[in-house]
Amino acid sequence: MKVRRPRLGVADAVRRWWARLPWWGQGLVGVAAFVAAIAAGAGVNPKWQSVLFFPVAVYVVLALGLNIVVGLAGMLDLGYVAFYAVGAYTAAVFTTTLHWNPWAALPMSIGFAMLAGVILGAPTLRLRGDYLAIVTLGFGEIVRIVAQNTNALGATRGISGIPHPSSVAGQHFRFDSLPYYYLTVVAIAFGVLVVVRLNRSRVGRAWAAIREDEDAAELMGVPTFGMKLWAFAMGASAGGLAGWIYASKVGFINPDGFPFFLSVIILAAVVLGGMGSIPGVIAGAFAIAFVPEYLRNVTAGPSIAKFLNHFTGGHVTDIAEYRVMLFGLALVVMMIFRPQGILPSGQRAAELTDGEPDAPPAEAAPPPPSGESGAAAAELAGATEAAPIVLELEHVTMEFGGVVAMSDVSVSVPRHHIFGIIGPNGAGKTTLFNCVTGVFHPGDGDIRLNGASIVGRKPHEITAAGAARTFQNIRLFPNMTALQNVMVGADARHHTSVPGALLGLPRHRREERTGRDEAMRLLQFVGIGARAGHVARNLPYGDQRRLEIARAIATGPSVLLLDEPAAGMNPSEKRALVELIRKIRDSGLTVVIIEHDMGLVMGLCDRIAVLDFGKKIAEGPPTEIQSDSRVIEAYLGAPTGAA
Amino acid sequence: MLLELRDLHVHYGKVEALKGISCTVEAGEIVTLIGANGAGKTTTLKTISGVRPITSGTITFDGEPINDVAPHRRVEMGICQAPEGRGIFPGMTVTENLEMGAYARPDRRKGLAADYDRVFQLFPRLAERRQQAGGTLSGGEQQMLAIGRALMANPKLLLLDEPSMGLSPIFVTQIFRIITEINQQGTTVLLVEQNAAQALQMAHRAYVVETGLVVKAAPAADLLTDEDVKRAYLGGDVTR
Repeated sequence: MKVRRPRLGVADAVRRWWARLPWWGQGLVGVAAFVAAIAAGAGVNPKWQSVLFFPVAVYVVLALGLNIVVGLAGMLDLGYVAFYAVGAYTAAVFTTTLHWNPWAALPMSIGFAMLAGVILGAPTLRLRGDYLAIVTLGFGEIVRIVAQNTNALGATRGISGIPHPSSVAGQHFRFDSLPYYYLTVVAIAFGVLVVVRLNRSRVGRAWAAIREDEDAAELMGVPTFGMKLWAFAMGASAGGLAGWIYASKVGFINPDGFPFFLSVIILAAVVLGGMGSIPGVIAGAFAIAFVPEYLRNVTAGPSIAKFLNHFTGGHVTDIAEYRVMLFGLALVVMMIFRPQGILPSGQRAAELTDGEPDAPPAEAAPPPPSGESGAAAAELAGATEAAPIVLELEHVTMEFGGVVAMSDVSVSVPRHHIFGIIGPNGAGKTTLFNCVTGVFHPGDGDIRLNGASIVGRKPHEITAAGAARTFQNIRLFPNMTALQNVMVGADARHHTSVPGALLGLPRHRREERTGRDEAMRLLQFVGIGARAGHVARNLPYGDQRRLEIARAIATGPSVLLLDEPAAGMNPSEKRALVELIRKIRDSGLTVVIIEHDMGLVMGLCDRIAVLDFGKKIAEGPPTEIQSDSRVIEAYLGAPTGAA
Repeated sequence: MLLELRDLHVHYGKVEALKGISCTVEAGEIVTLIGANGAGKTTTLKTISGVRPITSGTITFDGEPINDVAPHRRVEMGICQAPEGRGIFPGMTVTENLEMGAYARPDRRKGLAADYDRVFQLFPRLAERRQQAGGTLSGGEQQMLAIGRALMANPKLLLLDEPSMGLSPIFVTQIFRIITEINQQGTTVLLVEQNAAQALQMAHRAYVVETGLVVKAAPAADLLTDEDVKRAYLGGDVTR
């Protein structure tokens, strides 16, 4: 019998150390890395300076950009080279045909690449996973083929005579690689700052939430489509920037410089380094760009080549001819033994292991500003509207290909009520929730929230309008901490987008602070304040249910929809849940609850509606429902009913 | 003895979820594990069906140690689980899901008509929805399908994880009757259930699991009157 011991790798130790550094310490490390990169360029001979510029530094820029799409937002992009090409061609056209100053063409390169990202993204981002990957792959090829066949873009000959940029800060941009290397390092530093800022903001949380569970993110108020489009555009901008740098340096581009293989190489760099991790991605791009060049020049090359000839039966003397094979082999070995990458991000590593991830609770528990908890939710709830009916369904009908899931259901939920919805399995209870929250669009009828119709609105808009829910099968963002889960919910009431987060506008800083405080307060309100720093999926089941409730309340709803919150709980946990739900109601919210535990429903609810086969068969106070003969026949089974 | 767990330790990363669980199930019995959430009940079932690796300890089934037997081989040997959270195949129809349940049976080519009939008889709701995709069923119907699919394997030992979860009151009573029926037809059942009162009424023996350890083992009827168990797991009226 062998005992498997958990191990703590070097990367984990480094991550732990990094997470504990104060912000100025992290900044200092960043500056040191920047200086080291500059010094490295000055310290090597021109041949290696050239390698450091291309492919190394250019690959790093590209990998940082692709990482936003793949590592942060979790979308597989197989055509990333398209944006690099758009950036390079934009630079070429503006500087040669239109005779712009190369520096003036730089924002154009970035802008056109972003535009290309939006043009690709807008129609395709509704696709997911494999489908999106195939579409991006097609896009990458389309851009190259269009360039190949457009005379204005030089067709297969490409565009030559692209001017070098004018001198800046004593650096003369000519044929020498070093100034371009410096320029690219500055671009990398800028890119890192951008990604760090975004990642630590509402935007980064939204991306992480989309990656974890896109539907749940939308229902917690994240405008998933817009956020995915931003990820595409931000990723594309890095590609455009790299394209401009490359075109300016070599002075000549043609379609062959932008093959599909380059998309794959950059993707490999991101995966190899560690998706989502900035140092990882830089390391990955460095390894992928540098190692093949290094192998080409290594002194032991001939003997290694000779050794390999034994296996392949080849007659190669130059190791360079084997480098792609060695490189492929290294990738395979790496992915088998370290699938999370060289320097993985804590969260992404957690997705690959099933234990307690080693990331320290870095974001854990800043103490809440004040001690109140009961009153906290009252001010959080956006329940100031006066309408006495919070939620109203009028003759709602929902069909799925001939199967009627809900037929002509009308329900009115009075404010500050706890409203129960019960009924046999398959009666349409969850369908009702899905219609209210915009997951389904009812074929007929009207649904009004605080007096305004919400039929046809997107789920995140309905969340913003004041309806939040939990799920029958818990749908947390499993690899985010409890605190981050609730902060995603709280973000539904915030407004900072990419520009605000990038510039660190005062509103952004204020929202971050209040969002965090509110999230902490809500965790305490539901009784799991001590778990703030724990990764959601490692929480015990009952705590996960509570966390889901906290996340939903954080969106500031006027009505909270709970789908079987007591499922899988034992009696004492159920008692605590009942108390919590009452506390939520008392703080000013309205609660609609689907639940099968009759003891709980009858004791808790002010009013109950009963569904059977998609129709409402009864509605009234608990005592009335309990003695309704149709309800007993369809659902309760016995007059007493309590489980 | 059909199943024996001896000093079973299981880890999730660094966290020890099972800290030396030992228990036995005799052929023909209904045995239930009761305990709070996070006590390790589901982990125990998952370890028996083989989807959780064992740190140390032994599992013996039908006299053979099965520590190193792959999960799909364990199904062939006669262990089948209806997982918590259902785990049905969303894109397959109800019938196809059931057919997957019989995947490991050597006699499946002789026809499964009788087995389908049995499942559809136990769950008439599924019969109505034969051709519907599993993913479009309601939560409770998916639960029925998961149990039905496990039955299609015709197992010697049926592992049920919270079979009453998400079912309507009328159906909760039915599902416990169905489990008794299945047992009387010769299937041994190991059951995890939050609805401890009902589970204990039906089971022959029970183990109380707390924080990864068995703290009590007794005939189920005795636990129904045990003061500690009553206080901790049977509860009274939940609204009080």
